[in-house]
Amino acid sequence: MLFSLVAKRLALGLLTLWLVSLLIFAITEILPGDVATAILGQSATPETVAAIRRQLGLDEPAWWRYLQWLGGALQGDFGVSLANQREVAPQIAGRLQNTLFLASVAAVVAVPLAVGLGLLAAIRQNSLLDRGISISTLAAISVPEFFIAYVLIFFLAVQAGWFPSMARFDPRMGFFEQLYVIALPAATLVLVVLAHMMRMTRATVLNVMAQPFVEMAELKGVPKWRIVVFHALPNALAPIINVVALNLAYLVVGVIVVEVVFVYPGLGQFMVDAVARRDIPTVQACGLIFGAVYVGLNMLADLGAILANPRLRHPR
Amino acid sequence: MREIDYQKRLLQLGEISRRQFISRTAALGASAAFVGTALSGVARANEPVKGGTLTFGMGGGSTTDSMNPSTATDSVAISQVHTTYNHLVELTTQREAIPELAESWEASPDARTWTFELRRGVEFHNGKTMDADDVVFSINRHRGPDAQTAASGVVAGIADVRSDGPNTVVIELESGNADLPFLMADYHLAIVPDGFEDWDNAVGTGPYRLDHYEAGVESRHSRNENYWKEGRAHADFVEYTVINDATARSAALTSGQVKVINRLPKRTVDLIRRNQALEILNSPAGQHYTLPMRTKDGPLADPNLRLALKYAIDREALVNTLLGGYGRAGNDHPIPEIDQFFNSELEQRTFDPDRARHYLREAGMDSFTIQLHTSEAAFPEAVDTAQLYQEAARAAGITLELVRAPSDGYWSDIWMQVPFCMSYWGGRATPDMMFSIAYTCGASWNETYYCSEEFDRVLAEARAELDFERRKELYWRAQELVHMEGGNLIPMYADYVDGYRRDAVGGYEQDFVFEMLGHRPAERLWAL
Repeated sequence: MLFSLVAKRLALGLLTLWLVSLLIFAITEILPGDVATAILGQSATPETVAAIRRQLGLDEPAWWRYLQWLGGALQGDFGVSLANQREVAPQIAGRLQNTLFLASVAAVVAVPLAVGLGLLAAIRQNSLLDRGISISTLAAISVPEFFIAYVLIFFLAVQAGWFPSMARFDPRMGFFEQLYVIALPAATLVLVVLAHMMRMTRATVLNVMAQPFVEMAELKGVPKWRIVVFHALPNALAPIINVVALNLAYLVVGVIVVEVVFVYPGLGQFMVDAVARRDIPTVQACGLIFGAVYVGLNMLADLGAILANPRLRHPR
Repeated sequence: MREIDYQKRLLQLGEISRRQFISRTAALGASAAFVGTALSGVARANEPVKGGTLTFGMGGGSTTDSMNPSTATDSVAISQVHTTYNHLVELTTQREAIPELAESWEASPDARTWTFELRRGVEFHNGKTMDADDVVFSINRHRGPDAQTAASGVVAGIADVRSDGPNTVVIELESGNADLPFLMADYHLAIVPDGFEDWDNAVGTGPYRLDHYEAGVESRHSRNENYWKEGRAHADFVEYTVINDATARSAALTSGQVKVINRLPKRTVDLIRRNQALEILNSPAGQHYTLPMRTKDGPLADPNLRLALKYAIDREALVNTLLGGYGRAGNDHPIPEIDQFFNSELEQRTFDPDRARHYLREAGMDSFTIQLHTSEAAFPEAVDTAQLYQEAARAAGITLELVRAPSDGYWSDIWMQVPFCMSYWGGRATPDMMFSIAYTCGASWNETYYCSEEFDRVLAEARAELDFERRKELYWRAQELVHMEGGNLIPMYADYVDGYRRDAVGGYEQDFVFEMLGHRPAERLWAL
């Protein structure tokens, strides 16, 4: 039962990815300019542009280039960057690792913190603590992320000098040194994603708390925290998992601004540069990876929601 | 050598300028290495320190960069080129061409045939000895229809490059050009080993070997122990970090994570300047912003309308508000004040609505409406410039309709396509390079389609002229022509502004060519 469900989801995911690849290719085709003019910018002459186009095979029809690329991608070969003639796959691999590392660190801190704070706010509903948590997390999400980043840099890096303002990440560093280096960008990301997950936890838990079986537990004299953690939370899990998945996806694909401010060599900056240069193989590969992350996380969220809910786990 | 000592003394006493010193001692036959050491001993109070690491945080890098000098177009790539490679000719911070890999050069009387004597015994990082074949290859890489290079304009006048023995290179030109040494200093024309194409493992004769390169992120270099140039390349290691965000760049400098940065944001530079730990240097080089008007057809083909537009912009206000004073008003020609051929008697054009109206009437109009295309791609202050210009021009009866174009595709779809838009130039070392790239009839980057028989004749004559006074006369005329009838409205020259940590680097000085000591900070600075 579960197996066929997973298989169906997987097939749907692959179909989505294929559509994503088509869409990205079509959009990059519509965009004005091409890699040849983008590489040389203002210094492009018609002759040099023609030379570069010829050498890169840009004079071939679009559908033919697309098919060639797709064939390569299916065998794990993402082709050669049009802009710098290097293989795309190894370039992306390093960037993807960096992005995933930053996202995991942020997630490991943010998810338990958000759920914990949400539960705390639910237990002490309408107390000062509840309001304090809500106001501070909402304030953090209401300002743009680069602003949070600049504030953190100003106080913690420039004034206090506790943390580096640039996250100069190096795979050869020790694990704790790596953590230290990415402390500020990770903190920024945590602040950005915290509110959404916290609010959702609080709201769904409170929703469940209004149900008769909770009243029953209260009447039986079960302590409030026990009711929340053992009775309300499991029933509120499905929507929380969905929100967590969305935020995790955001941590992977949406952090370009944070990457730029902290000079962190992640995948977002890489893709934006590639778009600016019309480096289609790189854009396609990044797009596919981002698409796969979204599809994959959503699939996991669905499965998680099913596992968390006995009624869905054993459908009649 | 006595005369040289005398000149050196004059320089120490401040009797002569660095530029005079260089040209006088060069006339005495002093080698570049000598001039370099003499200058560094005099101009910099502190002595170079050996060892340490120089760290640079720079804007102007992209993940699509490479170590191939042919496609270097922005600050990071250009600096990395100068860190790894040498050129035949070097430009000093004072805009003089001094020998680098060429020990000396000589022109035929018509300036058409140039003979470069190469320095002997210079080795590439891979141990190969540099010879004439390497130089011929390195220049020929940029020639011909299939060359993928941003330097095709630089080598366009070259008819033939050949070696004459292992240490001599002869360059034949289509027509005379007295500025060829300056062309050979162009950063694209880096000297690489014959047949070299492996840019990931770049090999040059430059001050530092490439240890690690990640495009648009960072590069690390270690000192070339074999480096031939004396009194240069003091630090053991050099690191570039690409920081494209201006605020992040400033933060990295103030928190001490890097020792030098380029492109300080002009609006906040005065706040940063208050920090005593930092030295802020501006480079009044040739970078200028332009508003090209299409002269060959369309609404702006009438020279009177172009003059009306030129008088309707408030240049001083732009320099003060948008550049924070780090620049100068332009006079509608591309030769900067610091150039030896700058026409100092040409009246500075100012904001004059009455004269603008006068030229409108000459064109048979009372009022005039035109679209101005603007984009951040042209220069960072472009959109603000357009808005201030729009306000000012209203007083002259000119309505500017602003069209804001995206940066993406700006250079291919807007620039040189519409009647009136915005652009910029980095400035060139000589008037001829600037004029022939964008002002002669049919030049591929002639953004205004300006075409004047007299201008082309004057320029061609000046190019082959070796007599300074006559040349100056000709270039003055060329500036006047462009100023009066040309299609470029040049509102301002914008300085480059660099920041240095006083406690961490030594050897910095103002640069009149580009930014950060002519993009050669690696070999000219030292770490403290």
